[in-house]
Amino acid sequence: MSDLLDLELSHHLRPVEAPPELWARVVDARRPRGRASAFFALPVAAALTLFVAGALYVIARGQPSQEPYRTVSPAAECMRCHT
Amino acid sequence: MSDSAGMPANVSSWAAKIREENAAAARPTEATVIGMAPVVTERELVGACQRGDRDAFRALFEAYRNKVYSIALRFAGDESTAMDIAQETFVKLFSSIRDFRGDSSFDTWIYRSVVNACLDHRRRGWRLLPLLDDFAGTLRAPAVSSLDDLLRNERGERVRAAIDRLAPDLKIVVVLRYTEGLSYDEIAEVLGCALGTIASRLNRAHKKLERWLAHV
Repeated sequence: MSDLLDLELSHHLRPVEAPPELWARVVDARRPRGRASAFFALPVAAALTLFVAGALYVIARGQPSQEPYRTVSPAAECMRCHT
Repeated sequence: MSDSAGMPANVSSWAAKIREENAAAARPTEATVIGMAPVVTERELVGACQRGDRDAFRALFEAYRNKVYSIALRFAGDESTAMDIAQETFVKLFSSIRDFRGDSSFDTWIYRSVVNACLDHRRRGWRLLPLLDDFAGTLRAPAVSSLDDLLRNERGERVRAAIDRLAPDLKIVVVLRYTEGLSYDEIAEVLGCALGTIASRLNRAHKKLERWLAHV
């Protein structure tokens, strides 16, 4: 290996100083994040469940009840066929 | 590798604190006084971190932040990724410091952590937008004032680009050798490889770099 390459590498790979904001990033990353989200998650899930249940109830109530099948009296049948 | 006497000023203040605590508890301490500045041993600092001392964490961070960031920056090639790697290294380090049993030196342990973080980051984060990276690099590059500066800047860019082309296993050896000045033995210990493997990788890296930079 040439001395020039050795010098170049020493120069371009020299150590540098870390930015001061690195500590803040490390502290921020170590801070537990789960609690705040868990605090809100339960009420939000409950509200969503209620909303969905209510919507399903309203939809179900709004639909006309279907008869299982139409019964036609024999007399009416005769009137249709023979008139 | 590095000795505890090279630690920064706030490590000394932390050392003063731990000395007071030790004196109050009437326990013997390894810390010694050189002139007016108390010097804390690496073992004490790590021990305090293992007990959950927040000041010791800060002192440890201050002692190693430049080493960790330098390796990350020289390996990754850009500041943003280097910050991510350094952050990840320290977060893992602080959460797993209880596992450090002192089988190897603490320096070696730190170097292993940052090397693993670099290689993990490389595996996970394939650069999706290399052109955008180049553009951002151009924007960050300082303005050049003369032709001489321009040529020097151009050469620097080519050297950095050539280093970036190296395979990760070659690049990490080059970075540990030139950024941290580690010996072959120390690199072998950090990477868990044989001495011959390190010599071979460094030799291959040098040959590739010489070939790529021959026309510059």
